[in-house]
This record gives sequence, C-alpha cells and structure tokens, in this order.
Amino acid sequence: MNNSSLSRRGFTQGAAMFGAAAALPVHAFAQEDAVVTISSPWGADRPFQKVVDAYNAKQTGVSVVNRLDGSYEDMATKALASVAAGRPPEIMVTGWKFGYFARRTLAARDFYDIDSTKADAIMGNFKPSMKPLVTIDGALIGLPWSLSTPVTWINMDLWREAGLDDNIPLDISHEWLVAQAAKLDKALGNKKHPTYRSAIDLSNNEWTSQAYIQNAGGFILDGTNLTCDSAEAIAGITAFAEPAKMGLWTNMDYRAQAKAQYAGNIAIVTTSSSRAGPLSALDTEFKDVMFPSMDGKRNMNSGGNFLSIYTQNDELAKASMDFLAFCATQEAQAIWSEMGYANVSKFDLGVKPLQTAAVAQLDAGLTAETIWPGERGLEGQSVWRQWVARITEGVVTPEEGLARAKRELAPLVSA
Amino acid sequence: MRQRSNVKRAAFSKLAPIIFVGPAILFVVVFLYAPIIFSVALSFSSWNFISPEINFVGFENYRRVFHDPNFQDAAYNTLLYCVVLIPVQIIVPLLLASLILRVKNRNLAGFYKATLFLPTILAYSTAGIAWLWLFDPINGFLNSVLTAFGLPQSRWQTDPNLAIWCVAFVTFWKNFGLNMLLLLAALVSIPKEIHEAAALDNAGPWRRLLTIDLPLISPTFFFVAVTTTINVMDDIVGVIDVLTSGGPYGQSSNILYYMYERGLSFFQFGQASAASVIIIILVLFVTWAQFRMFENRVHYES
Amino acid sequence: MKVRTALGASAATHIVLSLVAILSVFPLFWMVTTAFTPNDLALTKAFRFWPEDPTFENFRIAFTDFHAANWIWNSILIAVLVSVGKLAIAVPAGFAFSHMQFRGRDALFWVIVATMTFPTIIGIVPLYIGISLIGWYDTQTAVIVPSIAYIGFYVFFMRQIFRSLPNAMFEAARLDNAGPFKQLFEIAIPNVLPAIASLSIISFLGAWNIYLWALLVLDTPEKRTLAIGLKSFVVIDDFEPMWGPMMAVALLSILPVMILFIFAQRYVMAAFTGGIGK
Repeated sequence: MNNSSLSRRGFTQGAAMFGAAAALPVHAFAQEDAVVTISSPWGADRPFQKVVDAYNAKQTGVSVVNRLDGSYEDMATKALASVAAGRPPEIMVTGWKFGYFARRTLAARDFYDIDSTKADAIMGNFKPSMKPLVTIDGALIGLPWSLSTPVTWINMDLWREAGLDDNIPLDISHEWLVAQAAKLDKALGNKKHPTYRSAIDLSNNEWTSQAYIQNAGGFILDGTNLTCDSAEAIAGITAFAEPAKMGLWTNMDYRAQAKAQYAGNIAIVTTSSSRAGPLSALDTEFKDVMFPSMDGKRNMNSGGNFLSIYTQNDELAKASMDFLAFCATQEAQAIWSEMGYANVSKFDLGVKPLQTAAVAQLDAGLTAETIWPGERGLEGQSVWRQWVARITEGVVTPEEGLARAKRELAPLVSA
Repeated sequence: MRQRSNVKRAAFSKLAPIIFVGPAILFVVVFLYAPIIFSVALSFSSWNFISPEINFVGFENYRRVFHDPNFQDAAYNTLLYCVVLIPVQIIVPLLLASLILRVKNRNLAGFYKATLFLPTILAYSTAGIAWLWLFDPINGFLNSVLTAFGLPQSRWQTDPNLAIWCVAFVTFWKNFGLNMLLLLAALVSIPKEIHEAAALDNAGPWRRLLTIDLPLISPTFFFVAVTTTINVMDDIVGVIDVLTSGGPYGQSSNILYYMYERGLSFFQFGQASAASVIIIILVLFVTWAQFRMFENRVHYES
Repeated sequence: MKVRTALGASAATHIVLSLVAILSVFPLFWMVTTAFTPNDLALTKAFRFWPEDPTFENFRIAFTDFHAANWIWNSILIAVLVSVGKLAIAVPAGFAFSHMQFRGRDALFWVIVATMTFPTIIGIVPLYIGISLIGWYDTQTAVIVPSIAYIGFYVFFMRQIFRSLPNAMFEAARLDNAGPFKQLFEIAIPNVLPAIASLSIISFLGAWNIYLWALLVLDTPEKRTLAIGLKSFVVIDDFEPMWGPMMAVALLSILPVMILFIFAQRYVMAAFTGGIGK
C-alpha cells in the first residue's frame, strides 16, 4: 500500500504540474476538507457539475468531486472493483434498474443508518410517490435524482417538409404513429430517414419495449415472476416490432440514433424524455408528444437514476449526506432542472420547454423500470436486450423470441 | 588481493545468469502464468468477488459456458474471424510487399511503405472511432458514396449480418501494414543473384514469388502466421469493444470478448475463468499445430 | 504487354498501391476534418469534406472540460516506463540466452517465449482481482507493471540479435578478465544499439495503445490515458455526442506516434529486417 501510494503521489504531482503548465483549472481544496467523490455519467460540461460547483462554493468543509465514469453499466463495473479494493466512490449515480444490485451486491447505505433526521428532511422535499422507488429491501438507499420516461419526439422541420398536419395531438396511439410514419416515408422517400424508434441491443431498447408490453397490459417481470411470454406481452412486443417489419423504422445502435436525432435527420424518435434539455438547445424545432398508447391504454414506466452512498466510513457518509441535503434544496433542483429530467421535488420549478408529454405521463402515474433481481441481474438486462433486438430484426417471431427469452432469463432471475 | 577479487568475480559470474534471466522469469511467472493457474482454480469455483464465500462447483462453470448460446455464437464467430482474417491478413500484405518491391523509385517506395504502415500505429480505440464515423448508418461517408452511385444505404456495423464483417475489416485495416513490413523486410533480404538466376530460367514474377521467394522467407512467414493468429483472436477485442460491443445480439462477439463480458461486465468470474481456460487450450493447440505444419517446411539458413 | 512508367514499375502496380494508400490514410484525414469542425456542425445533415469555418474550439473543450493535457502526459509516461522496463529486462535476458551457458537455459527460454502466444487479456480476471487486493487499483502502476510482463517477443528478438555477434568476441573478452556485466554493457550492447533503438520504438507504440486493461483499472479522469480518454466522449445516456472534441483527442493521440514514426521509420524497418528476416 505504501509503495503504491508513493508512486501514485509521484504520478499525481507530475500530472498536476503538467496540468498547471497547460493552464488547466486546478481545483484547490482546503486540506482539512472531507473529499466526497461522485461516480457519475456526466462530464464537466453538464448541469450536474454546476450543482457540484454551487455546493463547493458554499465551503461547508466538504469538497465534492464529480467523476465521469461512463454508462450505468460502466459505473457498476468500476464500483464493484473499487468496493472490492476497499475504496468505493462515496456516492454513485445509480440507475433505477440496478436497485437490487446496488443494495445486495454493492451494499449501498441506508440513509436512516447514517443520519435519520437528514434522511427525513431530504425525502420531505420530494413528491411522496418517490420514496417507494428508492426503497429497496426496506432500506432507503437513494435520493430520487433523475426521472425520465419514454416519450415521442417529432422533428417539426421534417414533419412540415413532408406536408403533414402541424396540429399533433398530445395523446397519440400506436396506430396513429404507424400511419404518420407511412405518410412520412412516402413523402420524404429514401433520402431522409423518416422514422426511428429504438436502438438495437447496443443500448437501451429494454425500457421502450417494456413500455409497449405494459401498455398492452403485460409485464416483463411481475415481482420476481417472469411474465414476459404472456399474451399481453406478445401483443405488446408484436406492435413494438411492427414498424420495423413494415420497413418504416431503421434499427441501429444508440450512438448512431442519438447522433442522427441531434443532427435533425430523423422525423420520429421514441426515447427518453430527458432529451428535452439538449433538443431544446438545437436549431431544429422539436415537439414532444406522449408515448404511443395501445388500445387507448397506457401503463408507462420510468427510468433514470438516484444518488446512493457507498462509503462505509461514517465520517465520509455524513459528509455525503450533507451534499445530498443540498441536492434536495430548491436551489440545487433549479440548477438541475436544466438537464431535462422531470421534476420530482415538491418545489414549483415551472414546466421547461419540451416537457409537456413527460409531465402528462408522470401525472398519470409511472411504474418502475424493470429492476432485475438476483445476483445475475446485470446479465438479465443484457439477455432481454438481445431478444428484443432479435424480435425487432425479425430473426425470431415475437412468440418464439419471448419464450426463449423467458427460458434464458429464468435461471438468471432465480440466482 | 588479485586472487580474492578473482574469486569474487567467479562467484559473481555464476550468479550472472540468474541476475540476467531472473527478472524476465519473475515477470512472466507472476503476471502471465500465475493468472492462468489462478483462472484454472477459479473456473472450478463460484465467487462474486465481494462475498467472502468461495464454493467449489466442479465442472459446473464449464457446463454453463458450453450450454450458453452466447458462447456458441462467440465460438462460431471466432472460427469465422480466423478462417477469413488469417489468410487475408497474410496474403494481401504479401502481395502488397511484392508490389512495393517492384517500385524502383526509392522515395516513392518509401512513401507507399509509410502510408500503408500508418494505420498500424493507431490505438484500437482510435481506429474504431475513425471507422465508426465513416460507417455512420444515417449520413456517414460510406453511405454518401453508396447514395452517389444510386445504391441503397447500409446499416454497416449495426446490421446484424454485416457487423462481423465491419469488425473484420477494421481489424484488417489496422494490422495489414505490420505484416506487409515484415514480409517486405524478408523479401528485400533475398540475395539478388537468386532472382537473376530465376530470371534466366524465365520464371514470371508471381511464379517466382511462390516457388523461390516464399520458401526463402519461410521463417518470417511462419512468424507472421503465428502472430497473426494471436492478433485475430486477441487484438480484435479492442475493435469489437469500440465498434459493436459484440452486438447486435452477439453477432460480432468472439470468445475473448465473451470472456471479458462474463468476467468484467457481469462478474461471473467462474464462467469467465472457464472460458479463459478453454481459450488457452485452444490457443496452445493451434500454435502447436502451426509449429507441426511449418516444422518441416521452414527453411532456416544457419 | 506491360506499360512501363518512368517510375520503374507497371502502371497497375502504382494504381493498386495508390488505392491502398488512400484507404490507409482516408479515415485519418476524416478525423482531422472533424477535429476542426464545430461540434454542432459535425453532426449536421450535410456531408462535407472540409469545414467552411475551421475552429480550435474542439481542442479547447478537450483541454478544459476534459483532461486532454493529463491524458497526453500519462500516455507518454506509461509508454516510456513500460518500454524502459521491457528493455531493462529483455536485453540482459536475451544476452544470457545467446552467449552464456547455464543449467536449464533452453527450458527457461521457452518458458518466456511461449508467452508470445498468450492472448493479452487472458489473465485479466485474476489480474484485476490481484491488483484490487494489493491496492494498485486506479494507479498507473497497475497499468505499467503487468504490461512489462509481455516480453516474450522482446527476449526472442534480443537473443536473435545477440546471436549475430560472433562468440569469439566474448571469448576474447573473457580472456581479458571481463565479467558478464562488462561483456554485456561494454561489448554486446554498444554493438546492437540500432536494434535496441528499434525495439524501444515498437515497445513504445505498443504501450501507447494499451486499451482494455487501462480502461479497466484507471478510474480517476486525470489518471487516464489518451487511448481510454477517448471513451469519455462516446455518447452516454441521453446527451449530445461530442464528436468534434472526440476527434480532436483522437488526433492528439496519433500525433506523437506519427512524429516518432516519421523520424524513426528507418529504425522501425531495420528492427524487422535485422531481427527475424532470416
């Protein structure tokens, strides 16, 4: 340990000198400050950094460092390694879907064990419906931070170019969307890329497919029961895959999808409501409407993340709680709302642009996203993504795909 | 006085081989052999890294790996990568090397050598990202070219049927330069007189390459074959990671990427270790087969 | 009938080689273009060869919002230390295997050389566990030390090189009472300096590109290298992809090796010719 810390210091000094030479903003913290590191999916150019900076400016004796670690999966990998190495990040931005993994494997702390007064104060600033979502196995393990839900994004420039009606209803159905997609395809031809729904398995097709299944009245997982091959689930996933089968959507990976949407190249995308922030900053005009309903019904799921504490050191845990208490204030919530997630606090922050659909879905009530239970939950998500991709690519029928998904998921869920 | 120093020196001389060779042995044993031995042990156990419990599970991990459809797909892809890439990554560079050899202008030959070698010096992540941009399924360069020729666009690496070929192509692009350079260096070293004699025999350039040059550069050829095999099994993982993450639905994965995913995305260390033991056996077998195949054909000049 | 050009090879030869040369360079050219295109334009609908309004903005983002300066420094540091480590171990070993007699020499040689066939990530799981347990996790030491172990090729190569020196040279030295260290440092090494130089270039290139392992064990953004820093730009969650800055960093990651390559091309070539040509 001594050797490594010595060389580590050497490296850090070298890097710091180099950094200073390159005129980097070197954060100077007072020595006695407790340093709380947050493993997050957001870099220094995102609003989360502003929340951290606003807290650090208060000089409470706790210094918070935001560390970009990648996707939820990347962060989980890093967290496991650092937990095993005995130095977990004090706080990690944890995906809702990894709730069980966070508590059971990574040993996320119960806020009430750290400081029950603060825990109550924090939760008092959020809508009461949030508490069950961050309570896992009876322990309050997270501050509800980012809540999103899949909505439908329409590129109005392409929409008008295709000569479609500007008056788009907020509440749309699956049939309506398919009909519009067909019109767009016809009007724009091959040159444009009219429609697009969801990424194939390189990324998050799992929750848009879940939304379709739930809107059709089914569930992927009902508690710990796999119900992904029910008649409702088959109906949902058949509708989900239908436009791809008709040649109306282009399946591709998440990176390409995001790039094309931001570039203004796709007319319809159904994906996270949290794109409200970046999309409203673009020159292209976007409109948000609700996720397509099935037979007039919706049972939408949510997604996003909460802030959890992983340090086993009590002093650092208390310091982390201090930062979380700040995150729950109106000041922090107002800074954070720029990002585009739905407001889950009790403060009135006003509705930001392009959040109408998300608010409408939130008001109607949202279920959790699929929280994969068991030691092998991370694999469960991956298996589900793969089968959804196979079904949308048409290599298996919905019936067969869901049956085989269930067979492959069963041992993972019960592990 | 002088005698004592001689004694000391003699003792020292005896120790010298240990001092010279010891560190090398230490490093390969600690960082290469020990992990493999540890993998063998892990492959018979169930452990999630954090829990203090380690259970002996016999061949359970091997059974799971062999029954895992993802492993079967990955194994099939590995075979496909090898069957296609190993010959292509040797033959194309050999042809290119013999073409460069014919360029008499030294500056121009140097220019060709340098440009063809350039992709070799990139990191896999850099190479992957450069191609990701060209492959972009919506308006990347390649699709613009297709459109310009009136052809339908492609989804490239996000098309389940094309993903594996995109990975293979980028791997080839990143690596052919090194093999070209190695083979070129060997071809250059063939004495002129041999070629002059061959010219008198009226042997054409391609026949000369096959019947005269190849046997003469067989040690290099053998070396290239062995390193290319490893490269196609191993280094390809970097390309897979950046380009497709093994997807769509495992269509471009290989067994090493499978192992990586099991171990470090899903933390199934037992299964990952079982996979790594299978891989090691496979690699040793392939290398052994290559040694056997070339043993009698490699022409060493001593 | 073949068309001979003034350049001394058939036109077809030049056409083929030029096409392959374009294929080799084009993706890099594309990277340069994107690095100088403003990020929002890098994403737009139209396809363009060169930005109308080239900018350094992407580099500014890479250096201020990300940690490109640290990444460059770390990449250089790791590449240099790994190269030095490999040479310090492989050169004496190669010498011992070529000009010294000791028990188990051939067996030990094969123990080392056999590791050439090991896939680099084969031991990644146990190594990762071990590194975490001894507290090296998230340190550059964790990247450097295990990377040095891949010396199979280096030892093999140095043995070949030293073998090309006549044994008589060392016998004469022995008669002059020169010990093994004197033989190595004063006779053997000075005679093979070009080969060592080229070997260090190869090793530098290899270490410069260490990817998966570094990605796994380095956490702190300031400690990352260029090769893995690139991954910070790949779109995550629901954010605008940073293609412009990503290409800027990609370009930075190529520059040092490109410069090294241009200046040391002869050595790189010589390394291969001398070592295993025949």
